[in-house]
Amino acid sequence: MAGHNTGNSELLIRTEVWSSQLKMVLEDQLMAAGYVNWLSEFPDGTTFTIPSVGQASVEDYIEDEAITYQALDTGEFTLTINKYKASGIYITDKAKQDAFYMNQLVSSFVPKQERAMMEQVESDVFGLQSEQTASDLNAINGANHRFVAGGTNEVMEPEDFARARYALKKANVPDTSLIAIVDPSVEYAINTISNLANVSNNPRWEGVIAEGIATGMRFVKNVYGFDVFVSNNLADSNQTIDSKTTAAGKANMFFSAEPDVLPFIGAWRQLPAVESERNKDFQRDEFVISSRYGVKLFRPENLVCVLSDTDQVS
Amino acid sequence: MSATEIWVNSDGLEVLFGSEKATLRLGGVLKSFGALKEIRLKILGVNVPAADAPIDKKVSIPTNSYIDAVTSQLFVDTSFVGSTATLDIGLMDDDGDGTFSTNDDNGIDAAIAVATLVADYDTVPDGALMGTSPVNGAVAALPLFPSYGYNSAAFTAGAATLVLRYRAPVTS
Repeated sequence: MAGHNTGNSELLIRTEVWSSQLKMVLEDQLMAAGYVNWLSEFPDGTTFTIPSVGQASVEDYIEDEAITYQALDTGEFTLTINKYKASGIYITDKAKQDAFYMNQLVSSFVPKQERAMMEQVESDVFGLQSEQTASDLNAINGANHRFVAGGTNEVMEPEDFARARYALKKANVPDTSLIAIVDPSVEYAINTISNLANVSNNPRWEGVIAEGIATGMRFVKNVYGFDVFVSNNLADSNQTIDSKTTAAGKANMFFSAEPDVLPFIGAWRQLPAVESERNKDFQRDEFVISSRYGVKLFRPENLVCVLSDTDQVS
Repeated sequence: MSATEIWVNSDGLEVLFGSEKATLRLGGVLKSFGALKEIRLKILGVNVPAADAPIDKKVSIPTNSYIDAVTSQLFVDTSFVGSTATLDIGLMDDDGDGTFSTNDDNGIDAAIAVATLVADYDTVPDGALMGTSPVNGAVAALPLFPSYGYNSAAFTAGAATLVLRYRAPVTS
């Protein structure tokens, strides 16, 4: 008498069961575009110019002599529409007919293309850190707007926030709506400051050691007035500044997000636009998204970049 | 006054901070109604640099202006001091980006000895650019800035007034 076991029931066993759902990758929160002054008065052309005027001065006056006249200094800022991006995907009829996941797959095309486009914008905005002079302190009024973090092995320390605030204040940047966007390794460095991690001084396990300095992508506490956000999209920057070098560096950004002094300016010539069409010759459906835009550092005085190494997380 | 209180921004605009903003300007354009225009600049001995530099970065003459070699004037208000120092007065080109390059560092007047620069000394500058129409050599459309510099030794005191009269080019 024989019964069923896995040896004689092989044909009844599904050796691999496929999910009915597709697994999507995790995406982070995008934030850079919110700190750009997007122009609305730039409807055509590729270059937009904003004239600027300087300061007036006085002279010693001598009675009964003619006063002299001086013009104000003038300059100009130019923004160029220099980014033209596109993302295209197609799916053939045969793939659609045969793929079990076709509906989920096709419906993910446009959101993923849109996401890719906005990630490119995010990267371009954070990449504006490179408009500061590389390997230089970028001093304005004697205060440094680009430097390597002051902690051991080039990790961020709270004093760096104070240094950034000092630099902004020396450049007449209002100290309201102060924003810091830092790499997760900075959050780690703050979380593990020795006097926080040394719980002998904190036997009740309170504060940062209990909750962490951040929840989600935002610090729960301000640091020297900065609202601190965490981003995985900051630009790499390995430089030697004032004899300190980053080898796995990120350019953490500090600025005031007051609407009238935003550090970045940009313009959309074409917002991300989706187009799809049927290609009968190739028997497939095609999906395309494209956009044209430009971004630039508008107020260098309202940007402090602190370079910190990310390889000290252990 | 600290040089770090002056910052040239990405617009090519010189931005002044702190006490630098209160620095007195050294001259400007005088109101005139005739064909000749006139700029007046104060030259302070202690300000005269070793390397050629604009006397005042906001006082210039248009490129291709004819500099009058008859009625322009250098007048010493108080005597200059400075061992063997001599004074060069010339013109610098506006580079258009907040910087300046030398056009002719002694084209207005060359190597005026400290012994000459005594109170009430009055002369018509006689450098090579006087009686000519110099053109900005860096960016032809931009103006030229009267400049100065010392030779041999620095000045430690003294003040003079430079008056340059010029005929601006006809533009229309």
